[in-house]
Amino acid sequence: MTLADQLIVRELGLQPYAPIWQRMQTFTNNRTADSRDEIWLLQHEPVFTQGQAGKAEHLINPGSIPVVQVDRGGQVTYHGPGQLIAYLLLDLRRRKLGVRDLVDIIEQSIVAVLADYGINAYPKPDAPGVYVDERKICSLGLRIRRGCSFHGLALNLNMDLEPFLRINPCGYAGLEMTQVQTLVPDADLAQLPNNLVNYLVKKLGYNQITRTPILED
Amino acid sequence: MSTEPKAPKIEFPHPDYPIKVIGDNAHDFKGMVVEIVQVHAPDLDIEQVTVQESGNGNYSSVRMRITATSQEQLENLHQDLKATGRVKMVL
Repeated sequence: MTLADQLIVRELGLQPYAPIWQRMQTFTNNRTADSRDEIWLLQHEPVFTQGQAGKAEHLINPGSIPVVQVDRGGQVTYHGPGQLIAYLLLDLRRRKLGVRDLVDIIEQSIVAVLADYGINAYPKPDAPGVYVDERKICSLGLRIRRGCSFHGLALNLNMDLEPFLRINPCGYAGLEMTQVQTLVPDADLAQLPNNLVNYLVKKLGYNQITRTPILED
Repeated sequence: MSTEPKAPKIEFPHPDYPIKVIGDNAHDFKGMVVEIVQVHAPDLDIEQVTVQESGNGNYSSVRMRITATSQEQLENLHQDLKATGRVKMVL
């Protein structure tokens, strides 16, 4: 078995945005052919993140929630408790995947994990993310550097959706957000992150998974 | 061995580096191109992206400018666009 077929899954709980973002950049900048791919599962403390070409006008009224300018594409979005974040730190060239393949795999995995809750979700051909009845349930924002992906997905589970009203999410005025709990009020979400990883792993083709709650130095 | 210097290569970072992506004309072609370019060049300003159809309407050409940061970035971008099977040419 080669390193390329191994994946480390880090379950990190609730985390502030900036330190995790820095760790993700450091990991990507320093990784070598001997680095295993990693998926980080976590939730963020409330934060708006603005893409590098993001327009200030889409940030209507941030209030007391901090705004962080980040190194991904796209427009402003919100992260907060009750939203599952999965950062995908993958050597795409080593896995022989194009960015479009990765986007498809992520979107299909989200659709599959939501289908287990009886939710009929779908990707759109011309906009990243996953939707339910034209409302967005999962945002995607990837970045590739040196052939490796970072950043990832944000799936709304059981969060306070109000901060999304303070922005034009992803630059679309009037884009409504939804979440699992709104659609399935009695959903048991405990296994959802694990199930999502299982779908991703299957589609990405890893054969050895190491799970840890630790973010190593 | 000749020591004659080669033509100067692009210097990085190269702001306002023009990219033109040509493929079959379809309503979601621009969205797909933007999605891929953005991943490699997050400073892409979507509002500056323009689309032109060919005279017979068969092809569509998506034009934009990015900050090119390395040859590797441009090669990866090119590969990802071609890998969609929908891009005929990247200029």
